Amino acid sequence: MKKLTALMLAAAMAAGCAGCGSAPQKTDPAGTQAQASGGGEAEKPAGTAAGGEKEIVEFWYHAADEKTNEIYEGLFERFNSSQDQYEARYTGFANKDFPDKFAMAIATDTMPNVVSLGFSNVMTYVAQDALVDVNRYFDSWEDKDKIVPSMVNTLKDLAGGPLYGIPYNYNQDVSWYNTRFFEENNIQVPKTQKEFLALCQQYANPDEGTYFFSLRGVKPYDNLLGWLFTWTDGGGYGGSYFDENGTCIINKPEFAEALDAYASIYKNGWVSGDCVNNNFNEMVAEFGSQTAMYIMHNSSSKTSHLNNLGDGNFGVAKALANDQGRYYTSAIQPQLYAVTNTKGQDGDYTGAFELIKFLSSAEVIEEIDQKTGRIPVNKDNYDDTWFVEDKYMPLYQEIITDENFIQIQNPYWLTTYFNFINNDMTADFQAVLLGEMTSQEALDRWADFLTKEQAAYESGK
Amino acid sequence: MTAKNKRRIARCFWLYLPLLFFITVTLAPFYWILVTSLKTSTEVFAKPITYWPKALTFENYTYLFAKLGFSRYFLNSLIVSCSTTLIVSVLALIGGYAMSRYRFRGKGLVYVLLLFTQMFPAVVLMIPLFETMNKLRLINTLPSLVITCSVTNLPFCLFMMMGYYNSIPRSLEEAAQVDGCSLLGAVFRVLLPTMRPSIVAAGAHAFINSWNVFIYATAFITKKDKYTIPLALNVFQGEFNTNYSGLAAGCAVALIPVLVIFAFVQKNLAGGATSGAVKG
Amino acid sequence: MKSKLYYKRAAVPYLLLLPVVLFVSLFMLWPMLNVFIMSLQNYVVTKPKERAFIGLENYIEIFTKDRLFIKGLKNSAVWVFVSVALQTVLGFWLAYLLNKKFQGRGIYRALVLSPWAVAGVMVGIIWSLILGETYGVLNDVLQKIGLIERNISWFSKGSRAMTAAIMANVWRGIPFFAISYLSALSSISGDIYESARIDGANTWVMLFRITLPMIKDTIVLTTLLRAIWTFNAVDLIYSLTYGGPNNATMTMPLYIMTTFKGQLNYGYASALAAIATLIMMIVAFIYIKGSGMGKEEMY
Repeated sequence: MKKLTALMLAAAMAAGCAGCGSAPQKTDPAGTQAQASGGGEAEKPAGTAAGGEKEIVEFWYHAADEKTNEIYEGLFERFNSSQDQYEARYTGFANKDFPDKFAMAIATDTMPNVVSLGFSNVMTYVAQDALVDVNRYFDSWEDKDKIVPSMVNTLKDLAGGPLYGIPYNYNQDVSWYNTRFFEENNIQVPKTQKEFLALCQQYANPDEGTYFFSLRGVKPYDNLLGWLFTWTDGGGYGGSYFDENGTCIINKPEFAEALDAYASIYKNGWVSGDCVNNNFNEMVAEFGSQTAMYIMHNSSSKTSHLNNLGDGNFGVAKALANDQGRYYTSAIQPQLYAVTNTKGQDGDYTGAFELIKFLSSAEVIEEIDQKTGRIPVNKDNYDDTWFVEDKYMPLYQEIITDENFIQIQNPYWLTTYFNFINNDMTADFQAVLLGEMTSQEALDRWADFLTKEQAAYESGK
Repeated sequence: MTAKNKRRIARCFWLYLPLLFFITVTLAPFYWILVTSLKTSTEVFAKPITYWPKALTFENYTYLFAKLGFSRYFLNSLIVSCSTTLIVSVLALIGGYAMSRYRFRGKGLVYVLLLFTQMFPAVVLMIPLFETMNKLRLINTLPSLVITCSVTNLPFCLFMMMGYYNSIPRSLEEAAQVDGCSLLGAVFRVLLPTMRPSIVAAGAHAFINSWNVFIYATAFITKKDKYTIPLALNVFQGEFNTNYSGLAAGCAVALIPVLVIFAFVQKNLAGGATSGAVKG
Repeated sequence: MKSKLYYKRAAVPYLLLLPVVLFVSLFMLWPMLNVFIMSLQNYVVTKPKERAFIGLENYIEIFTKDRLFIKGLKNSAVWVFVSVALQTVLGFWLAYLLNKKFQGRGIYRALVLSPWAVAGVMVGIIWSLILGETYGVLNDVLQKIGLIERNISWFSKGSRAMTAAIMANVWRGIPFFAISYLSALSSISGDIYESARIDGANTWVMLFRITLPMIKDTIVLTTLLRAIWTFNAVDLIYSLTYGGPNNATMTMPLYIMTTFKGQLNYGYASALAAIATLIMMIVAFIYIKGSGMGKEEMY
């Protein structure tokens, strides 16, 4: 029955579309995409003209906006005209849609050939057997030494050996501040958490509706965990969530004290009441409207500040430190280009990797990162003039080699972790801010969950 | 006070005051969108808030059309919405007639099934529908959206039509049949003109819902040249960069065809269409 | 023996409904059946090896352990009831006004109905630009008129965030009701009012004795379907409040969405969807029976 109707429908569609589907697939240098586009799956190049068959490489970008789309489209044109073996096709997704789209593509076996991913999702996809270990391609790549080793190792550690993608840039956790406000009031950019708290109190002006800080209540994880680990100096475990027995440490009393301090910013009215439900957009809007003078986010929000405040009106600073001068952030979490499992783990993915090589080259990275403010991991970029003369890049570079900087080892190897920090952590953190839960209660819940998940992970190894 | 003055005051109080209330509440947010779309990106959040752009600019609009190819998305949206409207109106007109004028076995079941389809959240239906579309090789085509929009809007429009048929006396088409028309001929020659407001209302419903279709569109469409307007606007708002003035301009553009359509069809929405036909 | 003509006539309604039923079965009922099947499985996308048939286990867990499920239902009830009630009253009022004659009615109608045309996601964005505590325009306006001293923070409390979401939803929903009622109102012949007026009926009597009973079916159907859609709508509320603070605006379908997209737990999310559907079915049934819809059907 279903088949019959499907056939009928397909026939009707074919009849209705007789005029548009029959055009031969010519590779149009102007970039208009080929008409007969199937799903995401690799198409058999049956329809291509007789003059040499090109392998099609589909690419999905996971965090597109209108600017990055423009850049990538130009790059893909260049790649396609630079060789005649492959035809790469670009599709960009807003980062809030990408997880759905890719999950669906996995479920229906319509994956593209290469995807760009954030660090946090990698293991979710590995668990679904969607990604290919690219160690063998990486090892035979002549430029492999140009990719910063720590970034590559981070990825290998995440998966316990296999390399599920080539890192291409990362975001540095930093603070952004309003330069005009700091100059007018003759304020030094705060270096420690204590200095920062004092400024929050001093410059909160609810009558005027202006504040020193804007706190992020929705998806608070990077800011929040940075604050907790810095305040407690990692609880003695150097940025790890777990002690030697695999028990999660983040509910130790000093962590509760740290969370109390952070929550007090909201409870004391040193930030706007809306903050409890502020996501990235609202936080950036508060900073952009100069009703908040200081926010914590990462290097990637530069474009937004440029839009809202204009060049020269905002500055960047290292994340806040504790009394010992150390600061903990989630910085070394590279974004990566991954090869999807469309032909089995042992299949031939040369074409996919060719595209990745192109996209990882210093000149291509330069084009992207210079405009988006993200930080390259190709060593060649570090000598470029744009990089050296950039207002922000040298600071990011300094942080990575700073001995006071300590990496938080977020347990992204747990496939449930990403959802946990997005949903459960948001709700509990908001409950703490609203006084509906104590800091200790919230941390106990988080620690219990993570200890359990970690145990399950260890036993499943 | 004269009776005439009294009536005039009453009219002010009962008609003009509420009208003013509704239009203010309705238009204020639109005004804000329009103003925002005409500001430079740095002025959007500048303090003090400006109620008319200090530096009026159309760059957001030129950006949409010149750089982002908005005209293409606009066209795609129009194709989807118009096709859907056509399909839904015709099917609802026919099906509604059957539901209103006939007694038949299984009528209750049809009714319940149609109602039932309205109860499933789109987020959950997305995956099985994607699989169906994929089997039909309709992913990344506008027909996938036309089909989905038609199916999701059909039940309500059919119910709506059914209600209107119910409110029109049978005598109308019976008289026509006596006059020698075939049944369908009678229906379309006699009832169609009286049905105009309801066809317009149902059509407007289908048009607008398909103009705004988003969840299914993100599921079925990934190719840029097949984007509809909501999909195109979606990339303005991301974790790394949110372009509010561009977004506002996009919203304003998305509103234009709908306003035009309302301007044209609003006359048909009301006006005692039946009274002329039944008289006598 | 019944005549050939009889069967021919009896077949007419089926033939007329055939395309609709086919269309709906293939693209709605079939996928929905798939969802029901999924709801009986342990199906977490990230754990493909554990996928198996587990009977009613998902359902049992929802009813015995899931606290967010109850919270979601409560939030949904408030969200749907208040939204639809306000929209019904205001929508009818607007339709009533629009059905009168006044100068500039055409342009007025086109403008006043326009919020309906804004996509849910856009409504969320527009209203967050308006309601934002420190950067929103509403607080600025209210301060300028002198109505408030300090900025209102709409999202600092659960009840307020819900109010904000409902406000935006009502703004967008009024036109839909107005259009439905307007076309229904227009089908009432003017003669009826005239004879009533001659009998000495005033405006209110005519409203409650003539107008409302005559368009009752439309009202019942519109409110019912609108209630269902409002229940299922996630885009507006998500883009305005993200379901927060502390899940205070986490409605049932929003919860389904996060289970579905966040946890990638298709089995559990499907079970939630099935339960939500069942609840709606029951409520719809009671509503239809209780309101006596369709009694005046003319056969």
